[in-house]
Amino acid sequence: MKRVLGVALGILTAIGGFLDIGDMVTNAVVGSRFGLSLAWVVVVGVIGICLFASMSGRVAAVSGRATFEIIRERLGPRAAGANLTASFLINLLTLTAEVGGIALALQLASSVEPRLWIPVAALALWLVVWRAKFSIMENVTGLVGLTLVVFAVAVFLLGPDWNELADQALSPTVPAAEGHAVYWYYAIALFGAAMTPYEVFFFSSGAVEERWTVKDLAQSRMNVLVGFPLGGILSVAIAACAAIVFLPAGIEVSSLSQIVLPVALAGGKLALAVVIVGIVAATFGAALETSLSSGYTLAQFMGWSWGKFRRPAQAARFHLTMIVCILVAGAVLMTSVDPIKITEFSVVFSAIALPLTYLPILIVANDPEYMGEHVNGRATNALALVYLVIIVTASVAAIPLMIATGAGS
Amino acid sequence: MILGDLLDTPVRGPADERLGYVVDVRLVLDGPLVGPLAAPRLHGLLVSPRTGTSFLGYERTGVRSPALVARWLRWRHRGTFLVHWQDVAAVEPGAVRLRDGYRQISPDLPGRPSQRPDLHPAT
Amino acid sequence: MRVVRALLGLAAVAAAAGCAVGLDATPVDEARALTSPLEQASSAVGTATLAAELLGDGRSTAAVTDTALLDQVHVLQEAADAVATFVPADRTGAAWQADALTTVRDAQVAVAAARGWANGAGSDEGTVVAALDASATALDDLTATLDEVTGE
Repeated sequence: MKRVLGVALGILTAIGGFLDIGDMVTNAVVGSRFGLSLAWVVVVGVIGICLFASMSGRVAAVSGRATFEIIRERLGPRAAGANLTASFLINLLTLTAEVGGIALALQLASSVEPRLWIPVAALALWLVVWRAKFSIMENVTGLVGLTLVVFAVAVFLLGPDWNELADQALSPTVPAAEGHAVYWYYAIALFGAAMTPYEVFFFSSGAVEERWTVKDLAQSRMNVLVGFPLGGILSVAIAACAAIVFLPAGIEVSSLSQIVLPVALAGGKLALAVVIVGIVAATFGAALETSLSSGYTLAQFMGWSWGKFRRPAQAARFHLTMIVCILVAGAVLMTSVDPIKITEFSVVFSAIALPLTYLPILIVANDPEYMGEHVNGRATNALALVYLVIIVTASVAAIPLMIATGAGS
Repeated sequence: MILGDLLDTPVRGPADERLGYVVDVRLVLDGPLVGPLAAPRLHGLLVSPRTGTSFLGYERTGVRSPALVARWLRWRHRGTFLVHWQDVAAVEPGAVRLRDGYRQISPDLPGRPSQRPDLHPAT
Repeated sequence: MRVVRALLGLAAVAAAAGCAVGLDATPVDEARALTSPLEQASSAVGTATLAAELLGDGRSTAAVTDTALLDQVHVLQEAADAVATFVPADRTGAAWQADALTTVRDAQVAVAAARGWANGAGSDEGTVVAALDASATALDDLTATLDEVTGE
């Protein structure tokens, strides 16, 4: 019974933890401009993150090493250092976007301007990172984040033309008002939103935090393979809400306040309250994960002691890294930059940086010296190679498309 | 000298011909006992003709998957050979020079990777 | 090598200079440059209408509607900037620009009034929504006129 509860809890937190500010903003923007014609990218992204997370979770559980320890061992200090710099900066960008997301969500609840919420959000973030137990932190934000299911409920309440939605999703075409380059630019953004690197740093380091062993492999695979696809369905639901309400009206999504309007239209004040709670939980959870990821990546590369299972005094540099990153994120946001813009950039840069972490994990997941009998099977490797091609293509195409389309405008 | 001085250094033969770059070194543990372990000894250098980048572990012939990555890395490092440390005449800034009559030895690391008892239940 | 670099640099500067002011801009280019901020403004007014109606129907909270309207004020500001900084090539372009500027300004007034109402200041839902609708119609009409020129 306890086991069943454990599996259920794992799956539920994986669903709630899947969505972050990047997923919400990108899906809503895409839904309002392209309808569901990019929904296939979410499917590709979800399969990709399932593959990537299950590989890195397996590597962590079997070898006891997290992502950046492996990258350093396999690539050597110089190449791994370049890799670290890129991954660390993009993670910091994502952290900034998430903290901004918390502030915007709190603005929706209070109509107090986001700049006043940023210090509050940063302080709360630091307190939780400093004090809360890893498992409690994970489970609470994941479970509260589940309230975002209200987006899926809203799709039904809005009573859309299902044929048209299915048509957009199943035979995708580029809408007349948008160019092909913009379509593919957003395809990459959506892919980057689904496959953010921090999820993998966090997942593999979390496996070490929670002391997974080979015995826990089945459960971790279950969490990923059931939880993430259900999280992906929520992503599509967000896009569908925007496609139903905004696309016909010619409204382009550019703010968080627009994302919740379809939910209000469908379910009234109660649904609105629920969705705001969900957004706060999802962004706060993701902000925690990215803060921890910044500490994990740097500490693992440098060989510092790390982890929330140690008391802060025993992992001082790990905690200091997180404090500095949270301060930097807060400081950047206090300059009044638009968090939504930061989010849009962060998902694209995530896609650009993805090969840097994907390839080393793929190589180590095949290395019998680390993995013994738990190396990748043939089917996994076939899929992993297909994704290697997709990930590298998206990464290479992202910057030219970003320039050609003026970042999708 | 540290390992970082050697890695990525161009290698030249006795007649100053370009042979490639140092991509790795091989150590053997056969020195006198220092505590519980034998002192390591530098056995030789791995020289790759075209690139100074890493082999990423695919010098071990037992590691073949994922096929595409393994094949690509082996292809990039085709012609890689091992030279004994005794065959190195001089290490200068920016070049490693080999002595006359040096021998190119196969770089393969055959056999099974070192075993970890916790990963390989007795069969 | 240095000569090649210098030539490339010169070419880049020349290209940039060519783009700087609307040299050789055809009416089609001009109409297109104005359409995009007008569409942005339409989107803002559409969002504002939805947010105001939701509040009127009791489906949204004052905080959410207020935030949504504030965000649209910023969007309209961006659109107004884009129209105001546009450099027309001839009289037709200048006339279009003046029309666009007026319409976008009217939209700003309508959204600001809606926000005042959402925060409990004066006027009633009917007036606010009517003003937003009128603004939406004006924006659509002007966009339609320009679309005829661009043939889209």
